[in-house]
Amino acid sequence: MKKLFLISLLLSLSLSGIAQSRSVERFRQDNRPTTKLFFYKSTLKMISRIDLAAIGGSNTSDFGDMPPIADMIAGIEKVKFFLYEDDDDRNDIDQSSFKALESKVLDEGYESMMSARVEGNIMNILMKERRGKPQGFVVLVTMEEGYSIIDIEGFPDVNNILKFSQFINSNGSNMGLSEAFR
Amino acid sequence: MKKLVLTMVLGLFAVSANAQSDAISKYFDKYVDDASFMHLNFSGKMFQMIAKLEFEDEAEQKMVQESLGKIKRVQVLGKDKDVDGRKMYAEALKAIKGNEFEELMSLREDDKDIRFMIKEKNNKIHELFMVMGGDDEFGLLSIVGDGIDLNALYKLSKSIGMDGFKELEFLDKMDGN
Repeated sequence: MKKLFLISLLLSLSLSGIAQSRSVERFRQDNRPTTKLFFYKSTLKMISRIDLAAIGGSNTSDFGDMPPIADMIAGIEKVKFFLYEDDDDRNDIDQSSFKALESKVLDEGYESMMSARVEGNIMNILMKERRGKPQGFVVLVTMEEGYSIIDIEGFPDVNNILKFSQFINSNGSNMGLSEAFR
Repeated sequence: MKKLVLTMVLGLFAVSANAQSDAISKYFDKYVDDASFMHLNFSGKMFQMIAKLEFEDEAEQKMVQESLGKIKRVQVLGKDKDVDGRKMYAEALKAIKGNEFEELMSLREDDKDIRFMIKEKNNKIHELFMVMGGDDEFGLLSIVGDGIDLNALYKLSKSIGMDGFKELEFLDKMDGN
């Protein structure tokens, strides 16, 4: 019985360990990021409670129809963000090493969902799923000034993202990809 | 052993056919690698995820599930400066001329020409290909799938505020037929 319990514990630990990309973690250990940010469930909850109207000094009614951010990020467990700036001497990342990272992430079982190249900036969104359900995302961005990586464990609520997108659209903002890069 | 070799050969053919089955990969690959061009690529996985969305309207839910899940790839390629769009438009049409595509519609809007073409098999649309060329802009759009419903795609892109498919507006007026 003890043995079974130990095996179950080890198995669950190993599974939770692979929910985010191993290649991204290795890449971070080998290359020191200029900026690194870690968001946990508690951090994300805190962010979702921020009063947007108060920050922007806008009319609260502007945000009345906006879907709650908490609903959108309810399925996200952890987010890692790493930024590598070209003028930072602590790393020597180039196009080829970043491309190699993408191949390693794909080898882990992630699949490409979307890629975009706009005005020299490149973004790749890779997703890993298990039994038809998304488990995590890796977003790789190549910019003029460097590179950034977002590693997400879990998945955002797509229905609420759609509502959020509709809200942004109805408020006159442009959600075009080219605008997102500007 | 023969069976294994045959399976491998068929598998290889299937992979190569899949890799080059859309017009952009087949005829305009050089622009895909050209960093001065904007390039967007959406995989079938993306549309499978969208097809799982829950809609309040039952008819909308059915339309999305039955149509978007069949899309295998969407690609957009374009350039809006330092380009002779009219010349490239003519070259693009020449490149795909006589290659399984038939014209669906062509229009002249402001200072640009737009042509929509489809690849059909057994009354199912397998690819919609759009070429757009103006004085200083050029664009290509390819939607590949197995019996794709273009009207559903246009309606969804409109509802989430994506500008990329606005040229498909005419399908709404035609009720998708």
